Amino acid sequence: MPQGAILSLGQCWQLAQAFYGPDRRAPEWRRKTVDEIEALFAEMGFTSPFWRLR
Amino acid sequence: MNIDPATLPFDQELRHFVYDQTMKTGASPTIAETAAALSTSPAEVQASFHRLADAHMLVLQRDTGEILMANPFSAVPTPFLAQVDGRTYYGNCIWDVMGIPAMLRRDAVIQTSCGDCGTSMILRIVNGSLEPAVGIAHFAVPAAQWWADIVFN
Repeated sequence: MPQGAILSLGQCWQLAQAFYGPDRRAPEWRRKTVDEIEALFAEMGFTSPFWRLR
Repeated sequence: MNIDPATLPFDQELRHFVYDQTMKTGASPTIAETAAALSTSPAEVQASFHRLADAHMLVLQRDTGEILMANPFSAVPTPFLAQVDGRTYYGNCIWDVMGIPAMLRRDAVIQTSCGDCGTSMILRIVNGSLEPAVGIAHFAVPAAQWWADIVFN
């Protein structure tokens, strides 16, 4: 079985804040686009093929 | 996904209700509770739930159509528990359970366990920061496949 990806707990907390910080009750809330998620992953240093979305 | 302007206002109102209830109580509302709260029919709620599920904004229980996930929250008990202000919330995974204090903007104590050996893990979020803790977060499924089987993932 492939190993998958391993994050530190601090990285996971950063990811959680980035994804779930915005208030989903707001009418203007929308899911992040693939481009936005890829940019976020790149910013966090998640550049391996595991994190590719397409 | 194509958004239908005709149903968008209702879907937004419903999403607001689902998240508001879940954030306030830790429990996602049922179809019946949502219909009563929004003064509409269960069929209208079910249709909206399905539109939101198609848009990856909710995940539904396969056999009942009730909410399974309003990410980061799980509507059913999981091994990823967050205690916030005396209430219990469940997350779908380690990422999601950390998303609960991120969304609520509150301190939290997270209780989970190692997926490999079962050792207990307790994490604390205080004033927006993760207290130092030993451990890792393991992601088994590549990102491109997350929504292929989100329940497994």
